Amino acid sequence: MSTTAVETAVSLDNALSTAIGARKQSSVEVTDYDSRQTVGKITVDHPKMICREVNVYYGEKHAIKNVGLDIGTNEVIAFIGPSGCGKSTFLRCLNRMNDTIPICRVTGQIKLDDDDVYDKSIDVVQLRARVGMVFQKPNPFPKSIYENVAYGPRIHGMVNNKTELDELVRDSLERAGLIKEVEKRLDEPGTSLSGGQQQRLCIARAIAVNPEVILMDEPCSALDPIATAKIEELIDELRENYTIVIVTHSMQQAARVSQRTAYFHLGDLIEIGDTDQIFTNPRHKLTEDYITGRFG
Amino acid sequence: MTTVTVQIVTLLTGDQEFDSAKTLAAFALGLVLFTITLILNIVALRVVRKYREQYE
Amino acid sequence: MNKLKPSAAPVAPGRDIKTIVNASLKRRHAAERRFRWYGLIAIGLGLIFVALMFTNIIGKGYPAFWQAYVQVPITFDPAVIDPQGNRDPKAIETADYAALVRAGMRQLFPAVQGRLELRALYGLISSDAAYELQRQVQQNPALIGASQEVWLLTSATVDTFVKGNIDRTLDETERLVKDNQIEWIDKLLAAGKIQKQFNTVLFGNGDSREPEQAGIRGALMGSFFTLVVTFLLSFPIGVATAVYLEEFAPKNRWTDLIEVNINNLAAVPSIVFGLLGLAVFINFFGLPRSAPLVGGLVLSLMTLPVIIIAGRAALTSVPPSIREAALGMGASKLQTVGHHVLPLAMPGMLTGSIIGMARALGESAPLLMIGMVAFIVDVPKSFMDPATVLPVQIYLWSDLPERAFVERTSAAIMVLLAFMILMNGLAIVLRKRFERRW
Repeated sequence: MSTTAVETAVSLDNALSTAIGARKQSSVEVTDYDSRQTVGKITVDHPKMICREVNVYYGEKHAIKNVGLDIGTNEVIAFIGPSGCGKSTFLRCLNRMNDTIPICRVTGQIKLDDDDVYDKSIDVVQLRARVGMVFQKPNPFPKSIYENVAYGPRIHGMVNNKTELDELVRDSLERAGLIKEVEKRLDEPGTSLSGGQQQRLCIARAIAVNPEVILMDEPCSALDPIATAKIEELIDELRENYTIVIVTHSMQQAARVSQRTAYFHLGDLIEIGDTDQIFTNPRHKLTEDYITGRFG
Repeated sequence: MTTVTVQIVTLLTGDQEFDSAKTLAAFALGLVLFTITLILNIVALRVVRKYREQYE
Repeated sequence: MNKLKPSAAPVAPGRDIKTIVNASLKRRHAAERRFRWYGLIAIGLGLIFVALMFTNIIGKGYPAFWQAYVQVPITFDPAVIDPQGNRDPKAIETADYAALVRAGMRQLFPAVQGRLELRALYGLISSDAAYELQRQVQQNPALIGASQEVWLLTSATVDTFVKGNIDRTLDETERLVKDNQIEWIDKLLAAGKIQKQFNTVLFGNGDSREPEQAGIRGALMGSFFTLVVTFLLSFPIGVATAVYLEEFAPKNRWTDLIEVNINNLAAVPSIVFGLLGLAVFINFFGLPRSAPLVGGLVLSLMTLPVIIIAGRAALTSVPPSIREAALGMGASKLQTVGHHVLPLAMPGMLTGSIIGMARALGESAPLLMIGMVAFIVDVPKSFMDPATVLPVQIYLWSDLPERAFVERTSAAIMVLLAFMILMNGLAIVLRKRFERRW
């Protein structure tokens, strides 16, 4: 009996591939697996961040190979690719979090609104206030919910008195969609919340310093589907005011939330374009293989 | 039976000039103690480093 | 499809996994049982020895907390104390109170005559009695002219005898207490005029040649001042060093060398630090010998490596996600460490520090080197007064032959142990209370 079930599954899979393959026959232009030239338009009309010829080395290992792309203002761009392809590494270059790793070396140009991020005159503290980050595993500070959100504004001197700070905290929690659940217990520790709530607290914390760009490194991979849905909704709302770069393992998520998608493979940027186009008409064979599930 | 520590104490409790032979002998004993401890520690460190499992 | 059935595993027929495991099961469980027994026995042995040690010390030291006092009728004769009648403080201070004591003793035993007999009678009272009367009169001049029963400290031999530690059956020439003295003591005991009271002298007085007047107050104050200096020096420097080495220092050969050295210093015998103190602080800087300041300096050198190592371990245990979260928000390195990492690591640092301080409290070898071994009678009042510390005091007393000193040594050991238990208990309580879940 199990034999027939597997046989059916295999035949279904074949049928799907053929169907996709039939449609895709026309779109894949680059069939050479060894070609690592980026396919697709890397520029946008109103770029928030411009990256050109970015190379990242971990000691001897060449982790990111000559990647260039633009990130548009107020758009959500997704980085997808199999494990170990470098998407998180590239993301961390954008706010110089890779500086904390001694053996990591970054070359190339990354510009945030005309400021070269790696320029000596740039203060990395200020950069990280303009480019916020949300991590894979929710990591609220072991302080109260209020303190978690208030910490950023306080150290950057964004407010003058307690009333303004209170307002800012409430505003951030509201925009993160968390205020209703926590307004009565702002003094409780941030770690007492559920996983999804903690992640939204981390998002609130990030937006409290009023960044221009928010980087999200697989923000939903540690959460359950309902929490994930809430956060995806939130990302859509945040798009109005912030530019969002999201690294994700889930292609469905990328398809749901982003406008542009970039596909990374073993350190190279293989293809970049509108999300619709990437998922229905990929132009590089590697992209097609990835989205049809042949690997990764 | 005596130990190095006891000998050092015996040599130094009493009034004498600071650079008399007894004082210098006491310091020499102290130096010997220190060196032996240092050698033991270095050996221990080598052993630990060699067999340390890499967890991550 | 056949891979899922266990019986199809490629082993000899009739030997499935169940029987194979069963065969070794008995042996493995037996080995575990044996190991558990070894553990229990080891713990039991350890506990027995601890119990033995405590019983021994407490048994020897407990009597020291009680002291024999004799009730003597004292007439505060104005002719002796205040001959001018003008309550001159100088006169009151220098009056011959010993004479009043002797008069009181004669009043107790009017039948005693003859110089030798009287000497034996006066020998029942401690030489401190005169000072006791002086203190009372100075505090309350209204006593002059009055007659009162006063409790006076007995001499050490009487105290020892009353506690039953002198063998009555010995020949008189071999005994410390003579026959006539025994006769009087028995009479006083029967009349209830000799009583054992709580030994406040032990905690009130400094060291003394007379056992009944010897107290640990001097040593306690010396230990206190020394530990204060040690803590004030070693804790801030140790914490700051740990933070710097762990968070800010670059990882190169020099920092490696420093780490090796700190680990080494934590293990070096403490006497070497005493030698260092002798050479540098006393000889080179010329600081006074026996001062708690110097003792504190030496002990803080000894405690610093312990605090640094404990501090680094505490800092390493803070998960990197906290650091990343703070850095990602634009906090500077110093802010990240100061606002987030250090508060989380503080409980571990405190525990390590308290354990280091407890070790410093019990050290005597390095302090012997810098001279805190002198016979010091006055209770030290500042950081520069010559002093001694409790472990050294115990060491000095343990050499003395009098029976009264034996029990005082054990009593002092009890006090020291009590402090150690207190400090270590505090460390454990703190650690439990501040245990965090990330």
